[in-house]
Amino acid sequence: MKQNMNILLSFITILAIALVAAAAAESQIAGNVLTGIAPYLVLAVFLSGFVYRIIRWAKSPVPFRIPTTCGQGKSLPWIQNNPVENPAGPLGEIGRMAAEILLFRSLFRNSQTEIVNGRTVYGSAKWLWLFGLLFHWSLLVILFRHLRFFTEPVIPFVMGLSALDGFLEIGVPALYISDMTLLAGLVFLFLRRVVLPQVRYISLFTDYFALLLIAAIASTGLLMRHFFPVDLNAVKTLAMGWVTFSPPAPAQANALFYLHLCFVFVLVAWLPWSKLMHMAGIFLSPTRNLINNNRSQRHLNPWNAPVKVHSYEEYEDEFRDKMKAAGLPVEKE
Amino acid sequence: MKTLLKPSEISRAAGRLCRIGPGELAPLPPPYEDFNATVPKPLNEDKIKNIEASLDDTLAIGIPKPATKEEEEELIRRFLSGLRKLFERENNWTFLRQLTLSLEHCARCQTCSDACPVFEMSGRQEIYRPIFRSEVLRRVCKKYLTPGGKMTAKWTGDIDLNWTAIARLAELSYRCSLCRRCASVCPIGVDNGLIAHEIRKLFSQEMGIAPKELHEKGTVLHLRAGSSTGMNPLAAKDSVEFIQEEMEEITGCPVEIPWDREGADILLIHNAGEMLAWPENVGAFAILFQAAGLSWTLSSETAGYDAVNYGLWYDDVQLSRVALRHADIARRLKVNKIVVGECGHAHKALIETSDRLLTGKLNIPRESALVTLENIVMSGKLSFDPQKNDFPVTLHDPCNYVRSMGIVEPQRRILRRIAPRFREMTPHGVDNYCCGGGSGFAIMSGYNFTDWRNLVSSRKKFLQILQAFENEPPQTPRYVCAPCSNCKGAIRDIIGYYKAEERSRLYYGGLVELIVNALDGMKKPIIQFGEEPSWQ
Repeated sequence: MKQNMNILLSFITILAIALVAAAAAESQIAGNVLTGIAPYLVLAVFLSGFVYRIIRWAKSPVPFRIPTTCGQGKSLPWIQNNPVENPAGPLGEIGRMAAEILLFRSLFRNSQTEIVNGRTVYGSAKWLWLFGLLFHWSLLVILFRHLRFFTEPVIPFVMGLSALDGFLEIGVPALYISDMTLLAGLVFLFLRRVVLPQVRYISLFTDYFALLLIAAIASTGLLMRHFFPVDLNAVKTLAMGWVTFSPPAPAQANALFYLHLCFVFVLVAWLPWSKLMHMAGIFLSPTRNLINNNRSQRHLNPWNAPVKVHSYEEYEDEFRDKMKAAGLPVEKE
Repeated sequence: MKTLLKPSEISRAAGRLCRIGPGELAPLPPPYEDFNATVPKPLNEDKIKNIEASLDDTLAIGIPKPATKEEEEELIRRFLSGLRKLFERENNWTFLRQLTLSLEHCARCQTCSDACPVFEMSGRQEIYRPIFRSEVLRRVCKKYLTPGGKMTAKWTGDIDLNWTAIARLAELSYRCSLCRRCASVCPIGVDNGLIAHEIRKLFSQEMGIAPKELHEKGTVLHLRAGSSTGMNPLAAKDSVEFIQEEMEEITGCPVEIPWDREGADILLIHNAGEMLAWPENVGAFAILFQAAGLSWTLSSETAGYDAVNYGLWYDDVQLSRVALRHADIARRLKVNKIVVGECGHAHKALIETSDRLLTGKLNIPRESALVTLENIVMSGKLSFDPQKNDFPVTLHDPCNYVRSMGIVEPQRRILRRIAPRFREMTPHGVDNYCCGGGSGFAIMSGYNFTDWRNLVSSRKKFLQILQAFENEPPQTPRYVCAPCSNCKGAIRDIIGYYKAEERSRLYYGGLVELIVNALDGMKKPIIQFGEEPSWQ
């Protein structure tokens, strides 16, 4: 089965990356490359790819206001409009985009129809919304928490966030809630792709790979935190070295840490070229980010090529004498 | 369980890609169970000998098979060059950002599938899934338009491009009614409806492939004869004269329907189909506008009495030609505004999409008839007797009003005022379902397409209508209010196909008829249930 091949291939690719990382831990030179050169290379690929995609999207014309209108538009003064679901001004639009990006408003709309005893029943289908939201928020929190490696002194916000995230105080070091919710989200999203035949049949290598890669990063991270502790001071020194453009020579290679690092590098470098770019695309999506003021405001099309106009008046001015001489009627004498 | 069809099969599988077996369509409630095993009439094999019919059980376009190998290669070449143009700002600036984004950043979560009535009602046939055709296009673009695409195709989704795939893709773009319900649930704003539209555009503008009802007998006829119904200005005037007489019987006093009155406040443009199929809609507008004392006119210029603009569905060039004609007629009549009658796609085309085309003197204000009607009904100038509409009424929301323009409330405010037994469908408003006739389906009837529409794309609407009325006593006549000619056409066909007038006493009509039916001072009701008048 092709679909199973895709899952298998994704696993194999992840394992291959792991092997490369493990090998790097064994070799001094490879380790130096991984911690000294690779971060900058990866960052360059990421930034250039990201900027390239954004510029390409941003440059394509959007002459038409084509938002999906999910509520009554602004109309006559006595008709109640829905300023967020069908924004008539920039404030509503910001509200709509915020709901879209922070709360996944549209995904929440998803409903499911079933036929129960010959009757169509409209049920809500919020599982994807719930786990999708958990996953994305956890990812963001985890990303923020990692700032503690890159700032000195650590930004208070990051400290506060970490404290809040670990407030359950289970185990030492404290278990982070976001780690658990991230794993829950990943498991759900992965199982959904694998178990539902209707989703699995159309899933590609890249779909599984994205999930597995993030899972690999999360699990290596968790292993380092809870089971095979790494020297956090060394990690911090390394990270601060990157930020200050003076990466130190790695003190002692830690295979787990190298694995974690390798997975992150692959993710970051691959991201701009993959479907994960929806993180930027959503901001540019005309079905969402446009104000629905088609009828209240005039929108001229700035993308038309300039047309050189030669009006009849100008034409007559130019040829008036000749026209008169030929006996042609003229509008102005 | 059937093995699920993959997008790559579009270029490989032999025979028809998808056949709907008896009993696979979503079941209907009693007394319509006898339709549960019905499938579209088989295509006449003699008639389709030289036609590409390898997608499913029906045909929307009916593309002739290429006669020679060279011809076939030429078609493939033109497809690829057209596809390239689709992504160039010089050649396709209209929806470029949305198209590029939709193809590039889809996260493949499949939320859209559950939103699609065609997919759901067809018994979840894979080819009707909103992302199926998008995925085909996405893979073709990745593999054939991006450098190195052929090498990465194995990983990003492989597909072979051949004539079979292209012909199937063309047909497949006419299995989506462009209702954009999927776009409204997408968490990142991908618009699969737009992708279907762009595919149609590519085939029409670059390869001359489009259903004849939309092109030769649609926009081309519209611009040449004056109406896509083929009615010329004289015939239009004739039929309006007849409507005028009919209306005078209803009002009991003279009804004036003005033609070409220069300097009138309003130019009213109907969908000309109304004049032929639903004359009482045109008449009701005249009665109401006269009663409200509006200054208005119709136009008898070529295309001036037909608001349709089929270009919206398949061809940007034809869209522009028709829109310019409409605006120019209004300019020459020196009216203050154009009011678009009860026609959903004409609303979108003339009021919104052509806004970018109509500059200078052509930029004449354009208003939705629903808003004009709301203004008349709620102004208090006219008196109504809602008790005359003492029958159950439900409202069908045309997709163009609600999901593309956000006109949701005016029609409801009117109904709450004049229809005491109004009830909503589930779901309704911006979450509505398409009538199944959207994007030209209602007028497309070649081969057995009507069968497919009634059985598959309109099935959801039929279920919704039945459910809206399910607690009514069996003998009560029920009125489906559909303020859009296209939707009315589709609903008329549903009622006819399923014999729903006999079985469920279903009747249908527009919104303005309901208003006039409740208007005080009328001699006779304008709404009739078969032979039975709606009030005495």
